[in-house]
Amino acid sequence: MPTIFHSTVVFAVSLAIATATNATSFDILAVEANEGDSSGGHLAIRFDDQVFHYQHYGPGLLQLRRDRWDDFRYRYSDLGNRGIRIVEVASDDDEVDELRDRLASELFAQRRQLALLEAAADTTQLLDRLPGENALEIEIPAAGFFDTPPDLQPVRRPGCAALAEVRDRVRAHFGANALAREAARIDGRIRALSPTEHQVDSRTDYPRGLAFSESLRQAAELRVAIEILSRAPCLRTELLRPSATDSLSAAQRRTLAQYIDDIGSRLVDLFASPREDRGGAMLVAMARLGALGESLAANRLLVVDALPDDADEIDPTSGRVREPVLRALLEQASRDADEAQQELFAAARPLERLLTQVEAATSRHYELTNGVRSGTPIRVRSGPLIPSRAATWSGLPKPRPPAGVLAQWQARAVEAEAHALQRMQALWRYDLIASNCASEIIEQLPRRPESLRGRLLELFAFIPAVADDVVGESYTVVSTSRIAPFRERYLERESRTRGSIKVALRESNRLTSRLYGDWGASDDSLFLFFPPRSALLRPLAGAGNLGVTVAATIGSVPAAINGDFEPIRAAARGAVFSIPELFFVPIRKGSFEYVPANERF
Amino acid sequence: MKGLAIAATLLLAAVSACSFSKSSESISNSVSSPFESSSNSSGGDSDTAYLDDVSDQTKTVVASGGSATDVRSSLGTVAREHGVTDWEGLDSTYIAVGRGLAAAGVDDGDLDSFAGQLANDDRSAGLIRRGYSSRPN
Repeated sequence: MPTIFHSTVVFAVSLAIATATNATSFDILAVEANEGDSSGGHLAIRFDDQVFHYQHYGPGLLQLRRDRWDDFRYRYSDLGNRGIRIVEVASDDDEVDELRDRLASELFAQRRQLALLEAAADTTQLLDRLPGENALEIEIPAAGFFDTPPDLQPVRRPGCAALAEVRDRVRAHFGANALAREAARIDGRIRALSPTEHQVDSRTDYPRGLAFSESLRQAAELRVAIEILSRAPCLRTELLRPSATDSLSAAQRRTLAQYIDDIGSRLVDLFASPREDRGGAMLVAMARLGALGESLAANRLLVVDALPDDADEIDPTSGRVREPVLRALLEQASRDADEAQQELFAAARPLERLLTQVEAATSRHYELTNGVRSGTPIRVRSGPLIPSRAATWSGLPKPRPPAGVLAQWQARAVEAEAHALQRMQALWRYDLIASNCASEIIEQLPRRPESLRGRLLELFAFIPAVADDVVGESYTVVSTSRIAPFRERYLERESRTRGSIKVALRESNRLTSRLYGDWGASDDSLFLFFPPRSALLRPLAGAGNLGVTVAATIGSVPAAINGDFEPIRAAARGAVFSIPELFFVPIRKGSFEYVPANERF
Repeated sequence: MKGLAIAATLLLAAVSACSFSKSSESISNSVSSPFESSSNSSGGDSDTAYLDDVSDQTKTVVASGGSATDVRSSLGTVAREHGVTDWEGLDSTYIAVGRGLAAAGVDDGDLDSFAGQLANDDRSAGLIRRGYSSRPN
């Protein structure tokens, strides 16, 4: 079914591909130490905008990540207040392409391997629940948006008509019994499910097929999506989030009507799609359809809450978040919501990603506004947000193993879960010395040092500060540069405009520091002095910090006896990080909760 | 001085090594990353990061012996990471899949088979072929 979503953008896409060129260099990024996570420093490899790096994950595993360069720099250099040393390394284009491709293959293969590891544990739990339940009860993401009381007639409002119209279109297109027929087919599929096995042979091996729990959950989502489409209920209005704009213009109403039409058409297509996981997409689309219908009825843009059920919560009244940070975040959230809304209404055609952006920005703005005004906990989650409010759905059919087979399935699932973990630990084992974020990057490079110095250095490649030197022994270094951490950049700029001695004195400690007072991170350990620029003064600052933190540790004992361990933890951590300063080495530099746009690198 | 730094790093590496720089519970996550919004890309469905991810994932799946069904079932996850649930509605998905098939070394004969199974109509199949031909050498 052709829709506006399908309109031609081939030219733009092809252009993006055609402009890609082969590269003859890559960058090694050595992130300096600071307290907090990755306190010993970090190492990454960059190809243009893509930064690959390994992180310590879960039960002794290394996880490969790929971040955009801007985002990586913001997190480490601005928020983390760490310098980044950039070593540009010459190579030939084939080698650079192969290296990037191999890392990309590892990245996607590992994501799937980790997903299967989680699915193996989920399979064990689901199988354990099978004997006790007549029908399956399962959490369905995005089903929680709908007002679906089991025994009552659904509420009817003018804004809810769009979903009923889609249901009627499905019936008109595929037959009056299409929904019931599809529901019966899915029920049969669920009853016939049986556990599957997966083998992972290497780091780049992308395991094929779905785990039992994945198949079951996908089928359950589709079954619930069909049921909701059949009933065409209204949305739960308490889960709608209003935009800042009071009323919609005629043009904006036309845009929303166009979205309703497109989403409706896509829902009809999704109903007949061969995608096994289309149930989740249908539920999100139906929730969006409802929100847009309510928007037209209320003459105000309303979106469904985009924050997930398991979002972290931050209490704005706990003193953990500084007031300037909250104010700046609220301003940014308001700006984000306005910009996202403008983009949505300015776009030539409906695009799901723009709607996702409006939902996320509006939901985040709503959380911050309520947190600041009413002191309610602020729910937070990074990354793109897709509406996922879950509901527990009961009455679903369950798999029917032949008599006596369920116990075998359960035993095999427990074995498979243990085997999957063992296999992942064999392939992706984290080890502080033998296999960490720095040594893994060095291990990936096709060229190894040949000189004696290079081989000796390689023994210490697990230390990020040494790892970039190892690269210099086996490759031609084209250039080296350094991105200064946020505080260092700020001090340099302030010193130029306000006088270096005045600024140095003001910013030397956290009590008078304007920068840290406004934006400093609340989870930093206790300290008084920032590491001075002069190496000779560092031991003095370290001695001061050690004295303060030891005294605070002793002073925190009564609180710890009463069960409040946070003060003693922060003070003790502060004492540990003061010790290197006694020996001229500044590790702790303070980190930041937020960096305003005009201060970012 | 570097020796001292290394010694201190060794000590501190044991405290917390290789983790991400800011935890998920940070209040800074109450807004999107400043570099996350589509204003940094085209804002359309030709976003380079989406193209790269779909292409790279397709290549990985096919290079591991995956079938068209495996490619299809892999697309939902990568699309969601870019704020998309309905990846079938995006032209760029099919073009990136074609590019990934080329990167995986799929030959012309197998391309037709993949395109036939992955595309719901001739237009989408054409987009896969276009992506396959446009991959830079």
